[in-house]
Amino acid sequence: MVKNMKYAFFLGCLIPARELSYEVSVRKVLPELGIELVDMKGANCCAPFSIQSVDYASWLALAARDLCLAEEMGLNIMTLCNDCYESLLMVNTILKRNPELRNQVNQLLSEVGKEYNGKVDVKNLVDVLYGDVGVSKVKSAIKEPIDGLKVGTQPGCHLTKPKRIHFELLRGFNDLDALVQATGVESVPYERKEMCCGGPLRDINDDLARQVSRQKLMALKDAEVQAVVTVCPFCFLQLDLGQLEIKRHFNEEFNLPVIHFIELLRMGMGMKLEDWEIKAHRIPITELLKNRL
Amino acid sequence: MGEVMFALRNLAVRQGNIPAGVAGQAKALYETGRVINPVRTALDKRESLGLGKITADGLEEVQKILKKTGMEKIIQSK
Repeated sequence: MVKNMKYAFFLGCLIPARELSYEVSVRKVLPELGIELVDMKGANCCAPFSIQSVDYASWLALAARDLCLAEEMGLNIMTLCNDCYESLLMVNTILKRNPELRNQVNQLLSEVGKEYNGKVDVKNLVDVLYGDVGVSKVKSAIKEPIDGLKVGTQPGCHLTKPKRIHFELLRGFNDLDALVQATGVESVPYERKEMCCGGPLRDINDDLARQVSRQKLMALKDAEVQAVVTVCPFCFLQLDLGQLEIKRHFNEEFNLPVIHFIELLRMGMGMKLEDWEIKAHRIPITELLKNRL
Repeated sequence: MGEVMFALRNLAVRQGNIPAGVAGQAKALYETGRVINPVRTALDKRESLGLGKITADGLEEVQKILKKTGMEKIIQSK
């Protein structure tokens, strides 16, 4: 059995390259809530689902290699990226359930002196905050409640799908909503909440990706929210940067700020964002959070 | 919706049709161990913030695995 409240921290590719503010906020906030993060040295890319499409065995083996590193550390994995979470969780679940496939993957891993034993679990930020820390402890850590703000949450597809895995785990939308409400912010329901942000279509059909994002943003605007709160770095990019692309292509402005949940929590705990972090938001958050920044 | 897109991608690759974006990710994965790599300004910012370095410590093992699975050949054929 691995230790609780201490995690092998799997950063993935996108966050350390493009969303440093997300990483910084997590490194500031989680220790305050009793979570210890240990960086995973030598970790490779999670092998996202696009790689599964290219070669299934490679997808399994590369994700399994990362799982082996966590096994060697004796720690469960926590990842911030929904894509990484999905790949690592899927492969972990598949290999735990299928001994034959596990043997085949271990033959591949033997090339690099590793063996997958199915000894660790994979968690995301919502799992850790909701499941390990708990909503009541999160709420008690809020020194400056963010009252009077109405948001729509965007957990991201990979937090809740595919259902053949998540059906048993009962994670997702409600947990994030409860955490958001613990900060004092009101999470309001909106149509198309389960709809994808459009991000997975980028680089395949950019126009369609923008159309999907636009539909999502229209639904959020209809619900009269003041901001979108997400835990997914791809949803963040697609909905934040994506609004600039929508403006260029459709001449349509939403001006809907997108905020990482951890930033909201950080501000509620009384830790201000730095100037460069505020500027990392393409849709400005200064007016919305002017008393917090 | 995400699941539908993954299924469509699988079908496309089986028919020899890998979208350029996906082929690019596969190539980056083989060459660097990562599908998204930071630009110089991000590396500098990481250093100034005292964040850990992004290393290629696992790359040799990644390449060994991808050679063994045959994915290296799929990548090089694109």
